[in-house]
Amino acid sequence: MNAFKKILVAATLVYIFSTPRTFAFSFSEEGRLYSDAISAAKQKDYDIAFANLHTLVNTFPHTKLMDRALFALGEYYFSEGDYYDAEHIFKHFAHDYPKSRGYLFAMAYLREIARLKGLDSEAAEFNKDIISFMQVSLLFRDYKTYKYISPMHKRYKAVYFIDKVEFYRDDKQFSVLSY
Amino acid sequence: MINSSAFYRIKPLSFAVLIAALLFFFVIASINLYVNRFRRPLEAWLSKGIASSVSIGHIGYVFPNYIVVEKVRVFKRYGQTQKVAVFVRKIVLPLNLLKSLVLKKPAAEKMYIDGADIFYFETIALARENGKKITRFIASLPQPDTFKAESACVLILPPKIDSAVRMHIFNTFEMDHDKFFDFGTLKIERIFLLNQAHPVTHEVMPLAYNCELSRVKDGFEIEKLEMKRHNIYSKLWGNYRNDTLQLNGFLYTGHFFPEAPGLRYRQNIFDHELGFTRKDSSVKVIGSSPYDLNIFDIACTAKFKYPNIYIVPLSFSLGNIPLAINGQFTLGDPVEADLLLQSFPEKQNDRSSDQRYFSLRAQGALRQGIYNGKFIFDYARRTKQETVPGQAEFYFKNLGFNYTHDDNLKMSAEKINFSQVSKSYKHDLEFSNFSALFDFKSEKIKTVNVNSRLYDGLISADGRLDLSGSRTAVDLNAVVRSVTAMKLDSLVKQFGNIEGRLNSRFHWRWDELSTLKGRIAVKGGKLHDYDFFVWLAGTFGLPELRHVNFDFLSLGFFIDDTALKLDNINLKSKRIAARGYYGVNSGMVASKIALAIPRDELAKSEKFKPLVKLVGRDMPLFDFDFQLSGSSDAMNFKWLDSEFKDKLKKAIPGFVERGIERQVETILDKNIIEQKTGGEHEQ
Repeated sequence: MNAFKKILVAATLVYIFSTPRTFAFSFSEEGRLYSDAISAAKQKDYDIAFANLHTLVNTFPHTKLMDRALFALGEYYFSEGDYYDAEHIFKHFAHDYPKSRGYLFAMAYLREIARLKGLDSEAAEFNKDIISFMQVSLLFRDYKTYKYISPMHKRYKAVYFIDKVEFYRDDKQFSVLSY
Repeated sequence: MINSSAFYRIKPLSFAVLIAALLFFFVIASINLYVNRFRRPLEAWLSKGIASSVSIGHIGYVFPNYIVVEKVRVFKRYGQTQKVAVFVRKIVLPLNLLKSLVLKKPAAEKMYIDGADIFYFETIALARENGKKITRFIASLPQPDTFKAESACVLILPPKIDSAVRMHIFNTFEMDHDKFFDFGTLKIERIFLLNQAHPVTHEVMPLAYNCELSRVKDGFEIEKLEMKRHNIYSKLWGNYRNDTLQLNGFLYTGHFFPEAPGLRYRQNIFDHELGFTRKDSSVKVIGSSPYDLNIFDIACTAKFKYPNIYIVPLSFSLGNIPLAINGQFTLGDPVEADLLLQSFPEKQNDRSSDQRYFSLRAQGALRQGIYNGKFIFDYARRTKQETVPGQAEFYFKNLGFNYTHDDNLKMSAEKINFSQVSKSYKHDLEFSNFSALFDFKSEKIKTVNVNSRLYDGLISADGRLDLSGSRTAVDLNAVVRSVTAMKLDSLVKQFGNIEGRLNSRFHWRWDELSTLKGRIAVKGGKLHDYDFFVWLAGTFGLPELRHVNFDFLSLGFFIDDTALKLDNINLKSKRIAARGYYGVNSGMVASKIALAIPRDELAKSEKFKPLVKLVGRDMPLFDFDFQLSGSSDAMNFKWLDSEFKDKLKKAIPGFVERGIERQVETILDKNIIEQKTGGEHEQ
């Protein structure tokens, strides 16, 4: 019985920490929408995840989950090639939540969108934000890393070298900024 | 064989002719003697009238009705001595005999002045001193209903050592009751005495003028004032009433005329009455060129209140830019001026928003062609990011201009102080024994060669203004020799940290945006509290690095509106050697610096002493190669691979590496806070 209890507690803890910050909201409507979105994203059912997050953003404009939801919507638009909406969402996100952990990667997305649109001067502004996001001093190492897991369950990583930043999404490089 | 009867018939006739001729010459001689008797009274009358000494060489009579006055001199007195202000070789007055007989005194309706030398400074001084008396005297003269005067004069400026300037004026003045006509030609001649036997003469294309005035109750109506040159045409009109001049008009420059319209002048007075023949001044317009400088909508109001002339204002439009000049002249000795030129005068309060808004103030005094004063130029300068206001000020001491034998303009000044103030900087420069040679002969390319002292050193420069493209471009190549670096600290802040004599070669180009690139070198000097070494001294625990004696310092530089690049940095010193590059572009740093510090020097550092003992026993020199990047406010830092680093890595375990890394991060963070707060912070 004790063993069963231990397994149950462990399973509960694993669940809690594998889906961070979802449990606390699971009893509210906005929490339920977010939780459903996360679950769908885990199943790679991104359309369902998007629908839930879209509803969350439009129904609960003051939700504390807004930053994560916005980032996820931006990710979705970008993956669908809808750069106009992706840019709009990421700019909204970057403006309202500059201290969010996803901020750096929102900047990386905005930089990519500016480059795709051929707006070099706009891309240069995002370059500055990305470069000054983290100051590195490398004595014995060659780089520093910065990580983030998005609500769409994508693992982001930024690798800061002395003169370039590499961006990875699920271990695949999606952008490089050299300076 | 001569027929004797015929001989006797002719003889009385010949005799009669001979007698008549003798009688004629006797009468002429008698009239000449009679007329010349008026020389002294005429001298006295003129001297009294203009309140200055006048002498007349001779007064004579030429058949049938000419009175000729020769060698007239008007003097300007300077204390006990006097100098000739005006010398007239010959004045010819054709008398109206009938009128003279009726009036019983000489009556002339024409006057020809054949050859007058006007000495500029003496005449100006005379006019300044006796101007009112001379004006009153001329006004008191009997004024005929019609009168005509033709004159050929030379205005002579004081000669210089190797050159002289003369202005030939061929003028015709006509009066018909209340109408006045004045027209003629001005021609400037420059004479260079390189070889006394064969002086070189340059003639500037003449300027023809034509003026028509009408007398009205309180002044004159200016019907027209035209000026024509091969590349200039100007027409003005207006009035002069109650000591106030009002003019309106325009001025075109370009290439309108195949040749200068004007006068042809014969030297022999008896060729044709007085030797002037007038050429048809009809103008064939060729058309304008792309280098035209056309001035439209000229409107001038000037008030004359001796000795002051107030300009309130002179406005015109140049290349669609409205301009206005306000200010005053004071006609004294020296002539003083305080003038303000403004573009878009109604928008001067909003100058920082547009680089077309500018103003130029000229304040100074001109004496004998030498100017002392200042020019203040307020402008807006466009950078890649914004338009910022700025001010450039020039102070001139003994500034003068003259032409060289190859027709170039030479500018010289005993001293020029230049300062430029903008939002982010203030530059000062001091030149002495300044000399600049301008070559404006080409229409598309203008050049200048400058030689001057720059503080305690020398500068020589070649500049080029290129007007051939759609955008004006300026290029300047300069060499600077042996200037105390600290004196240039307003130009480049970092020079203030360098003790020593600086040599430099640089190129500046401006074509809407400005770029400056070149190289500087200092041999045998000292670096005081140079930013990088201050940081290094703190980081390495080597306070001695704040003041580094060096054998040689050199670097290349490139500066434009957004970037600063220093490359090929080379510092040789007993305490430290440095090589590398450093650049900031739009606030982003890119740099690699290689430092070499002798073992003994590094061992002085408490921080490095253990490391030196650990790995440096057999190393006389320690290499530290850094790479810097990122925002200039918070630079990224990497210690690049070197022999010292390799040895250190092998000697210490991984966790110590990470500990050191964290310490360095702490130091860097501290330095960044110091930079942002000016060094005042508490850890």
